[in-house]
This record gives sequence, structure tokens and C-alpha cells, in this order.
Amino acid sequence: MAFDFDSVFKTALQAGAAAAHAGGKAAEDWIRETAQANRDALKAIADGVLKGKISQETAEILLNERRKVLDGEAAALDAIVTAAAQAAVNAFLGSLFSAFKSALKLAL
Amino acid sequence: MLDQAGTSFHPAATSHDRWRSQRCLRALTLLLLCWSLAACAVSWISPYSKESADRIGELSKSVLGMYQDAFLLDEDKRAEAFKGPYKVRQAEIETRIRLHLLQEEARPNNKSSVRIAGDMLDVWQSQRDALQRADPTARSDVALGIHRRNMNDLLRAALVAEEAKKSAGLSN
Repeated sequence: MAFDFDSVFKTALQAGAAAAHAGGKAAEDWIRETAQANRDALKAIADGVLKGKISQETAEILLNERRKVLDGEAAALDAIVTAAAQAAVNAFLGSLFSAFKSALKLAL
Repeated sequence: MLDQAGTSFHPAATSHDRWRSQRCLRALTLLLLCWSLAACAVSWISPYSKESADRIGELSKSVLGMYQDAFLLDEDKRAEAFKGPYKVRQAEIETRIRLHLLQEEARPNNKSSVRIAGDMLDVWQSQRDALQRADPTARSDVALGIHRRNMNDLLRAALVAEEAKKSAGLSN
């Protein structure tokens, strides 16, 4: 039985693309959620200052905190993207590996 | 008996023998490919850790619980509370965040979670100092609400980063 490398490669590519697609969706969802959360937080600070519920100094402290929150959210996005890339590469390699293993069993 | 190239030559070799040696060669090639592919799995990010996720969950309970209790106090009584019992709670939580940061730093390929834990410590220390200030608006409902939201968003980022490792199929 001939080893159909093209078919094996295509299957492996599909496995990698499926994993990358799932990670890409998670990253997109995270960007949307954090954008909305940041919008709400900045609006709350601005409203607080306008209504005299918080002083200018308190607002500055809260804005500085928000900068750190944004940094943390960017780090989470980095983790999502890195994990997705790793899952995609390993799904691709894993699919190739199992195809070669099956071919090896047949060859022996 | 040797052939022209100097290699051994068996006049009795049949086409079946040649077929078998070709098959062995092909199997060996596949074996080498399998071996090299098995060694090629990449590891760019630390595996999912349930302990880390549980630690973030416990931290969330303490942080959000402290703010929830502070909301129940009248605004004019908060200054006193943050100089007394709440100061102790803040210190306890800070110790737990520091411990979380240390444990994240001990994991290999974990720069994202370390960065989030570092940001969490910075924000918590900023809040600790902000809530001690003489400015009465520092402990208003609006200020407390935004402080709580900031910590909540960072804790969530920490959990999302950890869960991403799980959904990518990397776990201990």
C-alpha cells in the first residue's frame, strides 16, 4: 500500500488550522471583552470627576491603576495567542506523527 | 563472492529478497520520521496548572470580599476601618499576591502570568496607599467601585491566561 503523503499533509494542515482557528476566536473575544471593560471603567472615572464624587487626585490614581490593568490584559492576550500557536503546531505535528506511525505498522 | 563495486553479492538473491529489503528501508525511514516528529513538539508556554487557577480563585474571594464588606460601611466610617481591621486584611492579601507572584515565577515559560501577577501587586499596593489618604473621595462608593473593578479585571486576566493553556490542550 503506497503512503499518500499529500493526503497526510493535508489532514495535518487541517488539524493545525482548526486549533489555530479556536485560539484566534478566543483572542478576538478577549479583545472585545477588555475593550468594553476599559470603556466602562474610563467612563466611570470621568463621570465620578464630573459629578464631584472623586477628586482629580483620586482620578489620577485610578487612571494609573487602569494602565496596569491594560498591561495585564495585554499579557493575557499574549498567553492566549502563544497557547493557540503552540496548539496549532503540535496538532499539525501530532497528526503527521500518527499517520507515520500507522504507516510504520503497515510496513512492518 | 564480490561484485564490481566490491560489495557482497549473493547470486541466490531473489526479487522477494529485494522487496523485503526495500520494505525494511521504508520502515526505517518512517521510524526515523516518527522519532524526529515526536521530538519536534513545541513548548512555548507553561502547561495549565490547576493549583494556579485555584490560587487565583481564592485571591478573588479575599479581594472582592474585602471590597464587598467595605461597601457595607458608611462612607464616613471607612477611613477609620482602613486604618484598623481593613489594613490587616490588605496586608494579608498583599502577602498572598506576593506568594502567587513567586509561584508563577517558579514555572518555566510563564512570562505572561508573571506579568499579570506583577501588575496585580502594583495595583494592590496603589490601592492600599490610596485608601489611606486624607482625601474623603478616596473611599467614596465610586472610588471603591473602580478599585474593585480594576482588581477584578486583573484577576480575570490571570484566570483567562491560565485557562488558555488548558484549552490549548496543555495540562500537567
